[in-house]
Amino acid sequence: MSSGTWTVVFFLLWFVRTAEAQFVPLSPRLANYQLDVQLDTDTKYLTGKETLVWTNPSNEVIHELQFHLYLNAFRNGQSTFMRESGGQLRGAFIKRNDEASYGWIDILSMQARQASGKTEVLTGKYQFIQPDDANADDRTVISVPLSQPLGPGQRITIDMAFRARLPRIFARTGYSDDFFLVAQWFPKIGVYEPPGTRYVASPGRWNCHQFHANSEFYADYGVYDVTVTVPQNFRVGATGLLKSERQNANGTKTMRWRAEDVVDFAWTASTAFTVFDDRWRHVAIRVLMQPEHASQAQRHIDAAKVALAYFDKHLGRYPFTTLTIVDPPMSGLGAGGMEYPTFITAGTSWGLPAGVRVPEQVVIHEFGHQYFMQLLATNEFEEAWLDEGFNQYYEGRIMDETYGPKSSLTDLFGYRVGNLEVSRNSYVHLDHPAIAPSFGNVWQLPDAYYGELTYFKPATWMRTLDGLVGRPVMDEIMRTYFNRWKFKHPNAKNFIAIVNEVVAKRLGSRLGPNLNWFFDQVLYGTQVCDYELHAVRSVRQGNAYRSAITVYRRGDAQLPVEVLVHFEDGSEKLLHWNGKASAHTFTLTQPSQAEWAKVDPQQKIYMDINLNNNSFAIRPPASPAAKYAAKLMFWAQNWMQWLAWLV
Amino acid sequence: MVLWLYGVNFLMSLLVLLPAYATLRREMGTSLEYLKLLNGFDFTVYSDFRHSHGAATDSLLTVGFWLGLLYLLISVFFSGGMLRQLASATDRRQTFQASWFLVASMQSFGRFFRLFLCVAGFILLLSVVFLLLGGLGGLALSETLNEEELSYFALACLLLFGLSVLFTLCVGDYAKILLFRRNETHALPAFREAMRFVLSHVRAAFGNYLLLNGVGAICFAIYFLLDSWIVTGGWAAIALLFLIQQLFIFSRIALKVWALATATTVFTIQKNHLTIFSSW
Repeated sequence: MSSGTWTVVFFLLWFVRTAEAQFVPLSPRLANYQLDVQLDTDTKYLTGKETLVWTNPSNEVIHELQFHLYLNAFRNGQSTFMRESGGQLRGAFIKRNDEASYGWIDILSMQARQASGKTEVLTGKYQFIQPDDANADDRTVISVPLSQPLGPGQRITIDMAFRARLPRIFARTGYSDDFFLVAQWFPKIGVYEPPGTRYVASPGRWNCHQFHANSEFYADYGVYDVTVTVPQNFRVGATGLLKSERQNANGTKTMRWRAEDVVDFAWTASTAFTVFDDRWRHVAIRVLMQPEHASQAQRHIDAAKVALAYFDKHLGRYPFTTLTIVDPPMSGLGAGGMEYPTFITAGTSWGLPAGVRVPEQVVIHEFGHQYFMQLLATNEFEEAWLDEGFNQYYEGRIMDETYGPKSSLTDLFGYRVGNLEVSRNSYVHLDHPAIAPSFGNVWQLPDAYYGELTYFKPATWMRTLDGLVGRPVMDEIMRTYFNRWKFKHPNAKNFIAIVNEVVAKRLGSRLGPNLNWFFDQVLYGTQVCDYELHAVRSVRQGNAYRSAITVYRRGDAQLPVEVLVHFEDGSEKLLHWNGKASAHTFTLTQPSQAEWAKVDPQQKIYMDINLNNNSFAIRPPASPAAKYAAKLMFWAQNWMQWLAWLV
Repeated sequence: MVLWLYGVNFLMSLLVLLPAYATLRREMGTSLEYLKLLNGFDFTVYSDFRHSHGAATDSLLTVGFWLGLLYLLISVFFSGGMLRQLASATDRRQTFQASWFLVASMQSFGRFFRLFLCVAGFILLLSVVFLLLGGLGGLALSETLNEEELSYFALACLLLFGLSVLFTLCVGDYAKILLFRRNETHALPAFREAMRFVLSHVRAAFGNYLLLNGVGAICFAIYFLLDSWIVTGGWAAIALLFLIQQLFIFSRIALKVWALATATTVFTIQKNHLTIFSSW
C-alpha cells in the first residue's frame, strides 16, 4: 500500500478506537434504573414505576435479591433509624405526635424478567429482613427470593410499582411546606459483593444494610433515566442532566433526567427557588436559592468553583457536566448539608456575614463527596471514615488554602478560626480521645462519637500523615488512590496498600518498611498522641556549653518526631527521635547555651493533643500572660459596669 | 467623684488582674506557643490551653462573676453619695469629700436597695412578657412569614425589649432623684411617679438618656477598633492597650454619672417649670 493509503487506514483505525473509547462507560453500570414518578404536592405522595436492570457481577449463582426501602425508616417510631436516632438528626427533630411527620414506601407490584425470557411474579413474595439487628419492626430491607436463580454475569429486569409518602423533613429527605427534597425514595438494590470485593472471601454476599441513625449509603453504579411529574409552578433540580420537559394538560409538567455512572438519584422541587446559573470549564453550575438567601448565591457559586478547581488539580477530573446546589429553607434545614451524585444540598441563613463562612464550608464539603462517595463508592455503612474523614481533610485543606489557615471558618471582630484546627479540636479535646477506633460499622460506634470518629479524627490523622510524608507525596498517594479505585468500591486495605507503595517509592524506608504501624495506631487502634518538651538545661564545660534537651512521650501513640533547638548565638539544630521510648534526652555541646527547644516545630504531628507543651524556653515570655490578664480585668470591669447600670 | 468611683472599680478589678497574671504565668509555664496570642487570637493555642488549664481559669471567671455582684451592691450603696454630690455640684467651691459621700451613701442604702429590687423586678417582668409575646408571635407568624421577615420580626422584638429596659433604667434614675429629694423611703410609689414624669417628658428625660447610651455604644465601637488596630507585640503595646481599656472604663463611669446629673438637671428644670406654671 502507498503511504497515502496507510495514512487513511491509520486515521480510520484511530477514529474507530476513539469512537469506541467514547462509548466505554466510566463505571461497571451494574444497577440501571428507569424511574417514572409523580409527586402529589398536596398529599406528599409519590407514585412511581421502576424498571431495574441488574447484572450479577459474580461467578456465582444468585438465589435472592436484596433491596433497600429507605423511606420506611420514617414509618413509625419502631424502625431502627428512629430507635437509634431518637427521632432527631443534627439537631432537627421529628414531631412525634403529628401523623404528617412520618413517611413510608410500599411496593405495590414486583415482577422479574430474565434473559431466558421467563417472567416471575414476585409481588408478595419478598420478606423484610434485618441483617444488622434483631429489630423485627424495621422494614428498610427486603429479601426477594428468585425461583429461577441468576447465573454468573446474567442480567435480570425487575419491574416494580411503588407508592410512597414523604416525611416532613428532619433527616435529609421529605417536605417542608412547598419545598421537597426527594432522596432515598425508590426501591434500591443492595450491593452484591463477589469474593475479592472489599473484605469478602468466598462465597459472595449481599451488602444491604438497614437504615441507621448515623450511617449513610452504599450502592453500585448505573444509569438512571428518571421521569418526574410535578405541578407546573414548581422548579425542579435533580441528579444528572435534564433531557426533556413537557407541559401536561392537567397543570403538571413532566421532566426527564438522565445520569450515567452514578450511585444514586435525588431531586428537589419548590415554588420558591430563585435560580442562578454559572459555569466552571465543562461543568454547568446551577444554584437553587431561597429568595431570602439570593444575595448569597455568588458565595455558593464561588465556593463550588474553588472546590471544582482544587479537586481537579489534586485528585482528578470531575467527569460530569452538571452540578446542582440546593439551598433549603430554614424549616427544611434537616435536608441541608447532604450529598448526592452531581447534586448537593447546602444550608445558610439570612443575614449571614461574609466573615462566617458557613455556605462556603458546606458547599466545599458536600462537593468533596462527589469524589469520596460518588467517584470512590466506599461503603458508608461499614467504613464511613473513608468517605467523611477524607472529605473532611480536603475540606480543611481547601478552606484553609482559600480563605486563610487561621481564619477560613470565621473571621469576625478579630475572632479567627481555621477549618483544620476545628477538626483537630473536635477530636483531640474529646473527654476520651481513645474512646474507640474509627474503623468499624458506623452504627456500632459509641453513642455521640460518630462525628468525631468518622470526620474529625481521620481528618486530623490524614493531616498528620500529610505532615509525615510531605505534601507532594501525600498528593501522589491520593491521586493514585483516586485513579486506581474510581468507580469501584475501595476499602481501608486498598488505601493503606497505596500509601505503602507510594511512600516506599518516594521516601524509601525512611518511615520504616511500611506505614502499617501508623494505621494500626490511628485507624485500627485508639492510641493518643502527646509529646512534651520537658526540659532544657545547659551547663558550662570549658569554653562550650553542654545542653540537655529532654522530650517526654505522654500518650501511648508512637510517632517519629523532630526536635528543634535554638541557641543563644542564634544557631539552631534539628534533631530526630523515633518517639518510641517514654522519654528521650538529647545532649549537645555548643559554643553557646540552648535558649529554647521545640518538639515537632512544624506541627507535622497534628494529632498531638496538646501543642502548647511542645516547647520549652529557658526564659519564657511573660507578655502573653500580661496581655490576657489585662483583658480579663477589662471584661470584669465591664461586667461590673453593666450591672451598675441597673442601679 | 468620677475619679473616686473609678478608683473603687479599679481597686476591685485588681482582684482579677493580679491573680489572673499569676495564674496565667504559672499555667503557661515555659511554652513559647503563647507568643502566638500576642498579635491576635489563635484558636489552637486557646483551645489547647482551655482544655488543659480550663479549671484554673474558670476560677478566675468565677471571681469576676462574684466581683460583679459585689460591685452591684456597692453601686447601690454609692447612689446616695452620688446624688448628694450632684445636688451640691452647683456650688463650684464644693469639692468632693469622701466622708460626706460615704455618710450620704450609708443614709440612703435601704431605700435605694428597695428601688433596685423594684427596677430589677420590672426588667424581669419585661423579659418574661417579651419572651412570651415574641415567642408566640414568632410561632404564629412562622407559617406566613419567610426567614428574612421573621428575622426582622425578631430584631424588632429585641429592639423594643432593649428600649423598654433602657426606659425602665431611665425611670429608675428619676425614681432615685425623687427618693433623694423628698427623703422618701417607699420605692414603688417613687418608681410609679418617676414613670409618669418620664412619660410626660419623654424627649428631655428619655431622649437624653438614650443619647448618653449612644455615646457609650460609640465608645465601645472605638475600643474594638483600637483593639484590632494595636498590634500587641511587646510590653509597650500591651501597656498602651491597658491604658485605652482603662480610659474606656473611666468613660463608662463618667457616662453613668453624667446620666444621673442630666436626670437631676432635667428633673429640676421641669419641676421649676411646673411650679411657675401652677403658681400663675
